[in-house]
Amino acid sequence: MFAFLSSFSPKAIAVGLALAAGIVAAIGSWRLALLAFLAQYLLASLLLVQLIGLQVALTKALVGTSIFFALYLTAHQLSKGGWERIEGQSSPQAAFNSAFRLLAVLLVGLAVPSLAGRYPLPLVSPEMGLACYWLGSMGVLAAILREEPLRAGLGLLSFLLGFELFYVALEHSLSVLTLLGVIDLLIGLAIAYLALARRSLP
Amino acid sequence: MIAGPSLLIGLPLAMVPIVYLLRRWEKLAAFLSAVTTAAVAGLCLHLPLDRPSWIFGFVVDLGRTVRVLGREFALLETGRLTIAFVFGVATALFLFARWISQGRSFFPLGLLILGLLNCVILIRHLLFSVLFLATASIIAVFIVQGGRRGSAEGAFRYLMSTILAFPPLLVSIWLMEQYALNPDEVGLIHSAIAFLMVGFAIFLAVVPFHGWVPAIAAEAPPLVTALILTVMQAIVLLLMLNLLGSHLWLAENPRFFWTLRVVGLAMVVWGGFSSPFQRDFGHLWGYAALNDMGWVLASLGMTSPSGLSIALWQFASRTVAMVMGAMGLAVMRHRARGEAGFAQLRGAARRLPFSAAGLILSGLSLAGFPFTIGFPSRWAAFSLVASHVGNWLKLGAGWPLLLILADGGVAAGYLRGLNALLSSSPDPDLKPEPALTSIVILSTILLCLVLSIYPQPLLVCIRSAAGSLASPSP
Amino acid sequence: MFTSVLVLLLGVLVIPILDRLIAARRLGFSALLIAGGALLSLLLPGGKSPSSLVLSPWRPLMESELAFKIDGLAFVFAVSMLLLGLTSFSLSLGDEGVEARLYVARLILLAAGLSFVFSADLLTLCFSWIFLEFALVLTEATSSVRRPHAERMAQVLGVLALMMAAFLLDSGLPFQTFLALAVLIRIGIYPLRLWKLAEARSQALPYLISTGSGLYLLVRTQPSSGLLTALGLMAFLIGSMLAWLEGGSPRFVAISQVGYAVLVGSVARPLAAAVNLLLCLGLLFGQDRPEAAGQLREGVRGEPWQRAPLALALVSLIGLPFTLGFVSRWLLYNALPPQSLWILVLSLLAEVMLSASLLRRWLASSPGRLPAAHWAGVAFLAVPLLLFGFFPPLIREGALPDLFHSAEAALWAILLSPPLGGYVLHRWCKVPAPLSARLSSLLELDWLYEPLGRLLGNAEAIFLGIGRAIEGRSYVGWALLAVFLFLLFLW
Repeated sequence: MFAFLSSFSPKAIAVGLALAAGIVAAIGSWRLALLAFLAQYLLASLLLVQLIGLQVALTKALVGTSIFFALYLTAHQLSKGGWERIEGQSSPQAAFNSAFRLLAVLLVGLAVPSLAGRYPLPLVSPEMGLACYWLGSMGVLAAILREEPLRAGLGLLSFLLGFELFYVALEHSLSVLTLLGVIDLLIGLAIAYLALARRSLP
Repeated sequence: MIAGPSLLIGLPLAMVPIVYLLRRWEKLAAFLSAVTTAAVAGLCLHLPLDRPSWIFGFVVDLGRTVRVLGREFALLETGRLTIAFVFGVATALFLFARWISQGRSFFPLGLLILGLLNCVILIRHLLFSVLFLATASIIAVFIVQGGRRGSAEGAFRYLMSTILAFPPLLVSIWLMEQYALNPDEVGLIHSAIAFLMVGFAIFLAVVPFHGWVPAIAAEAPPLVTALILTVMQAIVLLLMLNLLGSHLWLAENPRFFWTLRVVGLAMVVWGGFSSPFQRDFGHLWGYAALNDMGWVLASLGMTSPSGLSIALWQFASRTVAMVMGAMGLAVMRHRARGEAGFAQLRGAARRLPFSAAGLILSGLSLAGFPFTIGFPSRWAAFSLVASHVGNWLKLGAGWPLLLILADGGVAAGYLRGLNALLSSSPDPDLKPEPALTSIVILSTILLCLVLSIYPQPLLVCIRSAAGSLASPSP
Repeated sequence: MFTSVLVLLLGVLVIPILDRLIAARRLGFSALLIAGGALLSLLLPGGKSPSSLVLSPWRPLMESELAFKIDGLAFVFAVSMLLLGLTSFSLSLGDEGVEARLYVARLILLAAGLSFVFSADLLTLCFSWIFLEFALVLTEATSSVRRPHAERMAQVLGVLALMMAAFLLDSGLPFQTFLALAVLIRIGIYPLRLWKLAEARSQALPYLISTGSGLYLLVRTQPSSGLLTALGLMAFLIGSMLAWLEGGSPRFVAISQVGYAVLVGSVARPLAAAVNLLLCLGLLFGQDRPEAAGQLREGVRGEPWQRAPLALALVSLIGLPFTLGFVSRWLLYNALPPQSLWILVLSLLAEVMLSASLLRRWLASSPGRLPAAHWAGVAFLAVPLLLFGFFPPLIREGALPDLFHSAEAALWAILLSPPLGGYVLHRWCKVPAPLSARLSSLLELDWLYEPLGRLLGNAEAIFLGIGRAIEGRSYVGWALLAVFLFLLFLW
């Protein structure tokens, strides 16, 4: 299993991560965004298998999956209450917002490779560094462009994932990585809580 | 024998499930939480560090080191004073929350946060301090929202700021460890300082990373805001001071202190000049807190022997003022069905005189106005900062005037609020304030007035705290 | 000496207790007794000898102290303020439905005024300033007194100016400009006087204590500059013109006299002018009685001698001989240098208009039958006014010369011409009502303050929007933050 998981090319995984992060930032549909979010964690876990080992990678995948299910259930509950209608998902304004987000993703996406080239991250490969920068930038972009906590929260988690991918190369201590995982879970819970709290806004 | 760190961390954490189960009975939960925090504060203040003591048949050694998974937890003098301070403040907040609800989760999660903050103080490894602080901050998001339906902007911005703040600190710690191994690589210091400053800047809400402070001040339950802006920021400051004490190269770096001065003054000016334009007490309170924290940082950055003492004095005054303001605002919002805007609270002072007085006095204290608890420390800070800033920035007497006008801006904001509170007839549905809360607020007002004239008792504690902290200097 | 303040503060605690025990009518007597006790404690043996009290040393972190001191000057103002308080309490004895909290507020106001004049240094003065503002807010909350918001803001600026002056003084730098600014704001000189007094007697005490504190500062610091002279003269002139146009309204007389006091202060010793202002305006406001208008309509008129207090106030304001007003005018014109002809001309013009306005007021007034309590009240002010007028050396600040032996003929001509000119102006010069109204409106500067208020309102909206954007409520703020971070790391 370990050999199978290690066989994936880091470059391909990095491309997959970039695509998933772009979808989280740009796409309007919450289902697609959540699936892309899950894909980010799974792909990140694949990278971690090669970097640090199966145990930590599995933990990361488990954390990501837990967060995904928590947020999916939250989004499902919200959508029953007409959340998409409230958030203007089906209005003409939504099309404009989507176009704006896509443009923003493209602009930031153009800047990220030069940033990664100018300030390479230590102790990680160039592809990994680019993936970390990309995840971080797209994550922050997604958080800025959204008002609604669930979608903005996905961005924050993406940012954190990008940071953790880099940090794992610096700090191998299991206790640190465990604490980071706990923090991720807490953030996921907090995002779900805030999203539900906000639902009664007119 | 019970080791001090185990007791100080274990006691609040052990009470969390009990208080959580009893959360529906808020008065009982408040009582238990207050007793817990008072007990911890009392233990820290009265038990010696250098020898074991008997407490209710148990032997407690407060100064004993505990190892968990290879990491040491130990209580030093600095930590002792900080824990006593933090838990003292928490006791006051929990007791007041007995009368004005801040959300059912305030008590259990408050205790959990305090337990984690004790981990921050007691653990001997900076990396874990940062991680525990981040954990505590994220848990605080739940009490910032406080079960409220509607806007989650304040809580989300606080969450966002925490998530953006702690990664730079982690990277900075790694860079510092690398520098310790490779002292020739000077570039590592510059990068470490840069990341350190970004991380602390976000945690301390330095302009332009200050957005979360007015947001939570406007939306969060007032006592929760006070908890975050006093207790949690005290822990962040302690972390920073411990860093300075343990890394001599940082304490000797003049750029670091220069940055502290600049960001401090920027906060003073921005917070002060933004205040008069606010239209509700929540945002106003947030900007007043920014202005006040700016003075703390500017004093710390002055690197004079008295700078640290003045910064601590300033922070202590701030804490009393913020707790008083939180009490006043909590009562007013509770009676006004969650509203804190000037327009919604017109004439409210006639029904809620003590709450209004506490709120306005708290704001004027944060502005450092005479006859408030904030004045003596502000005067000392102003004298220290203004007399050096003119020479240092070569801008003559313009800077002292700008700083004093910034404080005037905060006062002007609160006077606008006072004008609204005193005007016209109040909303007939506005009920009078509870008698007990009036007594508590009045007592706090009197305490503030007395301390404004006789700050000497506070100075004794400040000198003791300053002596135990490493005094930073370039 | 400082027991006067303690007596007043004790009264603040006693009055609410007495309110539950005795009839409301007797409460006024209690307040009167308390204020009287405070005055007595000041006048008792050693009342005028300098003494000091350090309330809090604030060392070692600061060199400053919180301290109070009494000297001759502070004594004079303290006595004046207490007399105003006694008058206020006496006059309210006849009023119905006066609540205990009103007396409490007035006692705190008096205590604050005394604290102000007893302050030993600028830092303590900052405290006293805030104490006084608190007392004024309390007065507003417990009565019909209303100060505009702009007035409170102006006082905030005043205390900031005072704090700046204190800091500069401690640093050994020039501080006089800020101190002068603080004085002018406290004193409420035109155009900084934003408190549009109503004619109501209830506003008299708060206004006079507030202005009296400013006058004390003026006399204590005696800032002198050409700008102050010009400012004082302008205020004197415009205030007198407004008073003439509005028939001697106390509000405009006050503006005029404040300007006059600043003018005197920039040239000579203003103590006489200051005390004259306080006592005369106290008498002038005291003439307002709720039942007077009704009595006037019913044709009820008092005896001519019952108009004596008003006459005394008007005569002293005009500055006829054997009044305190005359002493202050003498000091002013005697101290004017020969090259200040323009000051002389303009101030005489102002005095002519003031005299005309006061004469018009005298002719239009009829206080009706005065109750006994009213007489007690006015006596507190009238007697000192007469005493100081006949015996100027009682005010010992500065050497007051022997007026009647050393005055020259020209000086006598200057001193006596305004009353005559005022009579002529009143008799033969009538301003049409529409023009009068337009001029008043122009001089009261409403055309300036209202647009200024609107401009500030618009600025508020703009700054609020910018602030919200930078807080992170919009993309703009975050974009700016990202750029800032980028530049930070590059640098």
